[in-house]
Amino acid sequence: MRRARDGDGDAFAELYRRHFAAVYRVAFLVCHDAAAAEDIAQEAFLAAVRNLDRFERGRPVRPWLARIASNRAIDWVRARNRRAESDLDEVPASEAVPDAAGDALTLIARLPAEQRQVVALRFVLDLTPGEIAALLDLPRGTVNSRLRRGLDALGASLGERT
Amino acid sequence: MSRLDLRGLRAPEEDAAQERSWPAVRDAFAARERVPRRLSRRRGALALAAVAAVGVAATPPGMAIAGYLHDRVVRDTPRPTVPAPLATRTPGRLLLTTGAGVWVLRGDGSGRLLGRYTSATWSPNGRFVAVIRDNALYAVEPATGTVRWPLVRSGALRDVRWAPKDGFRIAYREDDDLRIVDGDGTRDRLLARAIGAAPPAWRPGTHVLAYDAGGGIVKVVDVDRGTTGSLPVTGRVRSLLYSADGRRLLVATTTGLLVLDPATGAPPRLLSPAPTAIATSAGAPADVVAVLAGGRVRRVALDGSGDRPVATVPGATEVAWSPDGRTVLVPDPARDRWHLVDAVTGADRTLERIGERLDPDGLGSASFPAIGGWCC
Repeated sequence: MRRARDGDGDAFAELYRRHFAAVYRVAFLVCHDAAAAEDIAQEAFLAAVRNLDRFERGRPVRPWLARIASNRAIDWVRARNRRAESDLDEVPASEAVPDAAGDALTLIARLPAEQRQVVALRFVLDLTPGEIAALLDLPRGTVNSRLRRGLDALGASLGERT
Repeated sequence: MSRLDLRGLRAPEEDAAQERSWPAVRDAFAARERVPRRLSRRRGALALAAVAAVGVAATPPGMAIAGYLHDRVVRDTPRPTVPAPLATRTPGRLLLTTGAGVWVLRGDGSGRLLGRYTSATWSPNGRFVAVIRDNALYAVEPATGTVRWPLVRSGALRDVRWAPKDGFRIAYREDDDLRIVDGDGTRDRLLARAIGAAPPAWRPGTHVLAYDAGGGIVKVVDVDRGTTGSLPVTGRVRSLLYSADGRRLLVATTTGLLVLDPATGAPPRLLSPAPTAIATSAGAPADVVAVLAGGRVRRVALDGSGDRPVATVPGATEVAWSPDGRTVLVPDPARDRWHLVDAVTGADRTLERIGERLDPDGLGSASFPAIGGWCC
């Protein structure tokens, strides 16, 4: 990150290669639209470029990118839901999902967007509820309740990872 | 499912998305890394621009970045001004696109070349101009050409339009997609895919955008709320424009000039035969000026009560109307001439050698200008 901030293009390319997939997955899990997830992930990196100079030293990059992506994905979902009332044909259909991940993705898609966001941050990025709370500027209890409701709806137990 | 494990999950299109997104991100990083901090040291910046130009100018994105660097570095350099004979002697400033780039031309004939851009639009109060070069969109200051922010995309950009409400939304086309970005260059997002050829039009005082959806459909969408309406029209859409009061949507198609009232949903009314260009003015919100076959320019009442001739300029394909509603500008590219016609009396004043006067280097690089807007 420090090298990228100093203008090292190779370092920035490595940062992009290392984190794009996770950022894209978080965006996709929230909005369940491949085209929108691509735009959102790209915009997260463009935002990162714009804010490189202000990035705190020593702070992990991936959660920062994921916060941008997940918040924008929620905005996208809200806009789509509002639009659906008048013109459903404008809403891009969700992309078909690969079989291997199909069950999880299908189940997650049924959760409210706010629950999808914390589920994605918890189980894609492996962040703790405390880290998610700090990242999203939410009370920890809110994160826990969203996680619990989401997992209850998924039929999953929190198990050892909570 | 007893335990949720998404760490091994792969989302659809993941690799392709990563590959497609990289050029835009890389170019944005390239612009960022070479521009800041060094600008205060002019000598260092010039050297940097030379190095950067060698490194990046070989590709279209590279050309965009090189141009961006050029404009940032030389922004304090005095730009050529246009000789007084090009004075329109009208209030407001014209935004012109020539082969040399985008000009801002004032009524007294003074002007400034903003840079090598290919498309331009005024912000609502004329404080900024949004311009396009290749795959990059920039907000620049019209008085100095200083770039306020760049937005670099992967596709070819055109048809930029700044929402006339508060400056908070800008619409533009990337390849065949319609996108929206906030006025500060943030929250760039997709609005619609595979749109038709006509540029979009903002409804004055709102964040409502009308666009050609293709197939004889005009869509009207509130870009904030997402609510959408569809309006079928006959013929291919050539241009879209709202009346200055925002009450009516004007659709120029290959079959005629239609006036639509999206609020009431009343059937479209045919105002005139097919125009090649239309223009409205805040100074005359009840009328539209249309260029018809044979270069006939007519002023048409939006309520359908009648129309009257303004001028006849054979070969005319474009028209602009001054913000005060008093002057209609009809370009005559075949004769390198502008006709400035009094919208009330029809008095016609011509300005000659337009393209030549907008050729800053005297090298013939400029072409006859297209009009990007006439602002306050």
